[in-house]
Amino acid sequence: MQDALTALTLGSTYVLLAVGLSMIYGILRIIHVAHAGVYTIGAYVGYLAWGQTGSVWVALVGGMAAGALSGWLIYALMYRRLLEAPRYVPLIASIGAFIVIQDLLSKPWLMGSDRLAMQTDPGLPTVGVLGATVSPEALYVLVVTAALLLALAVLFRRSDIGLQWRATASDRELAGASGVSVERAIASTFAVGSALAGAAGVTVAVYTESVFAFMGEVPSYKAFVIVVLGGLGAVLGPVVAAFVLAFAETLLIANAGFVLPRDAIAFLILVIVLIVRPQGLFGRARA
Amino acid sequence: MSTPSAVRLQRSRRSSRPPAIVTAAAALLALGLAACGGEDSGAGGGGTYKIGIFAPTTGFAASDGKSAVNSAKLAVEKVNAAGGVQGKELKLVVYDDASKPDQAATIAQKLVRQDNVDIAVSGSYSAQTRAAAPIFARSNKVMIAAYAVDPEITQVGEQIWRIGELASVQGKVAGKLALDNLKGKKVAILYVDNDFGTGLTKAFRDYVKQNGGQIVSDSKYPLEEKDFRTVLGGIKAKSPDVLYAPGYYNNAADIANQAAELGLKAQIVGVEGYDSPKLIDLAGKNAEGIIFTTELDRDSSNPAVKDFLSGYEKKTGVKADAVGAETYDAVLLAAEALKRAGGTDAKKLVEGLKEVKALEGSVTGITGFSPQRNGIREGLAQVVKGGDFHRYATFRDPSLITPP
Repeated sequence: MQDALTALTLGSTYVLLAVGLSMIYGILRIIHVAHAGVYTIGAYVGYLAWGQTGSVWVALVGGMAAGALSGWLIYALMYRRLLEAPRYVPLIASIGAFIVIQDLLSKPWLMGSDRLAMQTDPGLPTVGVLGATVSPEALYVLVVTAALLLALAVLFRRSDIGLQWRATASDRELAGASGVSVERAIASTFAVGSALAGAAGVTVAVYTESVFAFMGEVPSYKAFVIVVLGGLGAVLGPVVAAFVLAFAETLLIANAGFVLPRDAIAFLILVIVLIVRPQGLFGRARA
Repeated sequence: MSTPSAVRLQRSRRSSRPPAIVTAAAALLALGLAACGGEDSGAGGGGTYKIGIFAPTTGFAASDGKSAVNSAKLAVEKVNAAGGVQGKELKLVVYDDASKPDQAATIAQKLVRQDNVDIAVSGSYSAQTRAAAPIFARSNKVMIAAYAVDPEITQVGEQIWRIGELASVQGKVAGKLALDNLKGKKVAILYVDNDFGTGLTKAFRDYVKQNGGQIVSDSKYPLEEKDFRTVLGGIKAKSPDVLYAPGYYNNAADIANQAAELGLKAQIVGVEGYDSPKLIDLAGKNAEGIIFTTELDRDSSNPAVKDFLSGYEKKTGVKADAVGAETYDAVLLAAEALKRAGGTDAKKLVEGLKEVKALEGSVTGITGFSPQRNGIREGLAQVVKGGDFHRYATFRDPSLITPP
């Protein structure tokens, strides 16, 4: 039971990042590596906000705002100028942006390359579930993830902007011809997807009790594994894939120890899925 | 030793940065930096002795590298303030190896041929030190390794010496600590999967088995791992008295935080990789009570140690660690060798080193050297208490603490 809860929390730390990434891929078809940079910025702003106020909730709001802003800036300053370029151009730009974000953050005059401690008090209880316990930090991760996923689902299904996102993602030109403000749909997708990345950064910081400038390294590619597993561009797919991956990792480690590094497990699963089901677990095969 | 956050960083960097050109450019840049990184004394002998040192002052191990270089500078200042070695001043020639073995080899060539240093100090990890040692030995230059643990380093020639404590010694001391001092019956092991963790664990495991301890769990983890909850849950189910967890301060902080979260009661026993103020910073109150084997005794009444601790903090604004203490001693030993040799002749330097018993002013308490040129000292365990490191126990039994 404890392992199941650990896996659930771990999956939650994956899911917010992956969903935002998948939304952005869905609308722009860009391999947005710098998404992990947005995540790191979110974590650091959350860290600073927590340092000022001691509140993980203020940290969350700060991290999400910083995420939305930096994600939107990356779009407005970079991708928007590259929309007509071959697809490797925005990819390289994205890798460059990610490296710049990390290296700037790690400068001694900014945040430094040391891992910084963030031992928070989320103000939540320790909950017992069937003999297992959920720590306050884990509960924070679970609550934040559930609330944000719910809000996203409502936004997608019940709001005009959600409709415009879906329309633009399915066919940008047709959506534009039908009166959808494509520009607004793309920019807002970036803002919302990046706010989720910022939230992911803050929840991971709380859960791992620290931030550091290169915390986005592993997530930068692991989020892609989840997005590809879930079916590129889908939104529900990555949610399920994130939890599938977290449970698979936890089960393997619980029963066999660290027979191979955690991130290798992710890629192993990816390879197997791509062989058996090239369109991902939930993607539709393209004609 | 190494700094885990950063190691993780380097590893993941490698795997997540596809364009080879970035790596190539970084390598070129780093080489360029190394090429102009030497702080040459310029005096070319005359009134000075030149000590070459390489350490990772950039890259993932930068905090250890800086600690090593700052401590080396402190030692040089100390020797020079006392009149130098027979009236000659010591000068440091510093290079950054960025934790890359090939770079360390290039630096070793440069220190020998270009800078023509009189003696060299490694302020770097095992892989870099292992790459550099044969070059110094072949060129008949003395090199003193500060804290690299690989036993093979000193075996390439009689020019190569070591201050640090071998894994085989430190693991045994931890075994004694676990069974006798802590009265552990059931012991769990969770170690970092590299030379450092494996070497320590082997010595610890052998000692515990031979002395009647019961090992109830024995597993390893990858260096970059951050989430130990699942394995710690498994260990908790076996209810061990002691958890021996060789690794670095970053791993240790995660293990301590998550063990507290899960309510694991076992006494955590660590290793010299824990010896950094960052451990207490990252784990806070969860670090309290952790005991680890190391070489720097914060409660020592020895004036040399007190001087080093206060001098380092004054110079850098942060507290000293074991890596720094070992590098400080390496420079002192270099000065001692020059003094005994009365010059820079390699043969005389080696003869001089063979005669060193208790190293004067030593911060890690060197009392002599073994046949394989490894430093001998009392075993030491420190405990985290009140947000600081304090002495927990010392070990004098020669069968425990004598290196090969």
